[in-house]
Amino acid sequence: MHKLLARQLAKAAKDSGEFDLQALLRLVCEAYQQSDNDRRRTDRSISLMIGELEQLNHGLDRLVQERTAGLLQRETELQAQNLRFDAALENMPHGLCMFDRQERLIVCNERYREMYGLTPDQTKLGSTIRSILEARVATCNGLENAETYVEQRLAEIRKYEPYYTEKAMRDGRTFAVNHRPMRDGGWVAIHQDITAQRRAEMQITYIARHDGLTGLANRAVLREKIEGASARLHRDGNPFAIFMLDLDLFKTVNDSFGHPVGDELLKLVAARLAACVRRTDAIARLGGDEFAILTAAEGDQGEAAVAVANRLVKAVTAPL
Amino acid sequence: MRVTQLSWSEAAGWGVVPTDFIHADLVFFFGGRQALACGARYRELRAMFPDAHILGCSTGGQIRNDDVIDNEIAVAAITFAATTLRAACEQAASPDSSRSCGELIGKALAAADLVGIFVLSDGLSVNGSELVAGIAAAVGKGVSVTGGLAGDGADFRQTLAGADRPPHEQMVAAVGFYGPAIRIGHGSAGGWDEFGPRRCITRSQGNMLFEFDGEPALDLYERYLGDEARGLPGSGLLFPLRIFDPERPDHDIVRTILAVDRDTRSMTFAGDVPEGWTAQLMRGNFDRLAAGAAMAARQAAVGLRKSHASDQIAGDQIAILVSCIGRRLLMGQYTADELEAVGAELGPGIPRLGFYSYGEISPHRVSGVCELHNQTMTVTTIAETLDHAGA
Repeated sequence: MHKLLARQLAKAAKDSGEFDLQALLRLVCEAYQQSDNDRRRTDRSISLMIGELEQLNHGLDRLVQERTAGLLQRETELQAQNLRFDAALENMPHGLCMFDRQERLIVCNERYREMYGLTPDQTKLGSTIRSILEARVATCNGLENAETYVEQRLAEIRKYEPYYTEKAMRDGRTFAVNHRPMRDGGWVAIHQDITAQRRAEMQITYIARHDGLTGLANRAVLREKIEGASARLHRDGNPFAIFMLDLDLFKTVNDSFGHPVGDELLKLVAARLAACVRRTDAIARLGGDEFAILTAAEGDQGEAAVAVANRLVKAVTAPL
Repeated sequence: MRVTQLSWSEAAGWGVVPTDFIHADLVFFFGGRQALACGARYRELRAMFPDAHILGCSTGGQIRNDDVIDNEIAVAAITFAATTLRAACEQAASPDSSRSCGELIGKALAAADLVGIFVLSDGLSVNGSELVAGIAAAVGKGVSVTGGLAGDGADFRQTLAGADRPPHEQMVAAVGFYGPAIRIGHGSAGGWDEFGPRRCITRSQGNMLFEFDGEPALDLYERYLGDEARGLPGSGLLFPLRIFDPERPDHDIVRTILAVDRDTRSMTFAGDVPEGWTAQLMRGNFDRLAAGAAMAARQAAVGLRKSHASDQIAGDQIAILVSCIGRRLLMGQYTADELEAVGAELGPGIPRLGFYSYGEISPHRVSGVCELHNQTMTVTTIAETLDHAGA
């Protein structure tokens, strides 16, 4: 017997053992009605749910299509961006390399390889900074101890702080390195060959401090030397002497033989003056045919100065 | 511990109280609102059990072992060997005062040796979530809080509850169990099936729900209920609502509807329905609901045994069953299936008393946090141990 019918019979049973037929029928009808209601409710809810889910699926399809189109567009843009980035990277005058937080190479341009004479195999992506530093030492770094150099560079890098450094190469070139940590724990470094720049700076400095004709120091250098000697005099009591001279009738030489001969004469005089003093003394051309000499005095100041003056006059007045 | 069951009906009155239960310590009674409203039944119980704490409430049907009964008051009287009890009863005039009411109950019962609390609350004017949170906050972790919200059949008009006084509306009653001998197990499970799309609660306030995904929630319920929408709020129980915080999807809670407002298109639930949470409709299958009830019984039985592995239960046990009125409305004459499933799981010889409610209270099966549940079968098992009971 179905358990529900058994329950209905039990509920409809009277104390006398007879059944209350009306009560039993009511229970049975209720059960049928409940079953019908449940079936209708189930049908309705499933139908509505299917409708809702279909609507959601349509919405999801639309969303997927929109997202896919957006992703394709984004991918195209990224490809174009990558091309531009690659072009910029490969055409930039500086070497560039980028490493991840595991110290493995993730970006490197051709210029970087050229600067350090590295092969593509030595700079393939994923190479460690240690292997690249070791290769650089072997190819062109200075003459320092290779192992010490690599460890020092690694220690510097692992501080995760920005720094700038200049490094002389074995072949005389000078490289500047600008190191910048990135937020993800990696870093990017720009390597610049500053050899020509450094040489030009040295040349400019030389021109600014020397007479272009004779190669002697100029007026500015002489002033520095005098200030330095004055300071030493006040500080240590070291005396010094200054000699000023010009060439008699020099204008006549220029006027008679022309300026090229006058220039040659000035160069000869400069050489003779230089031969009369110590390397630590200073000789400057003040302009035209005027020269000045600064010497550190020794022994009797007066006598020493007279001796130097005599040597200078003798040298200049000797036949040419 | 010893347990006896009694009943009252209009025709037969009270059954005979065994003489050795005259000094019972605790009496639970559950009945229809109309049978309890006059207070006479409480006074009769008080006369029968002068020493007992007496707790009771109105229901959506009384549970007595395998049967659900409507025309009788179901009673259990319990005598403890070594457990002490304390009762508390507070007024909860509105959902807004539910938390403070819970805190008052918790403070009244809090003690170092408090093991568990069983709560019976008004089912319509109380926000059950807030009530339980208030009690739990006052008594702290490690104290199990179980019980339920009183019912009023499928009418949703007035619910009554009381402790050591006649049941009255807007009241919350509770009893605390103290001492090393008491053992309390608990289990709660639903067995409902989720169906349909997941929806976002886009507008709500406390336990009032206004919108799902920008659409009035009441529109959705009326659409799914069809002709049965006339029976709202009762018929709304046929489609319980599973809700969860999207960030904690395993911590789901089922909510049951208490009222609807057709003017504002809002629905009031027995507990909070927080804005931003995910919601999904549920529907019931008789067999799986019965299996859910069996699972609750299993949890309660295992919990009772697990509390102290070396325990030996002394004397009787009792299981208090609080099941949701929604389950009964759906299962109809098949309701007995879930009661039989609980009985089969607990085993013979354990008396079962309880009621169909507007909300169930039990620790969450995953988090262990005591909270309000809906549309579940909740089982609380109570026993004393041999060592401490002196039996």
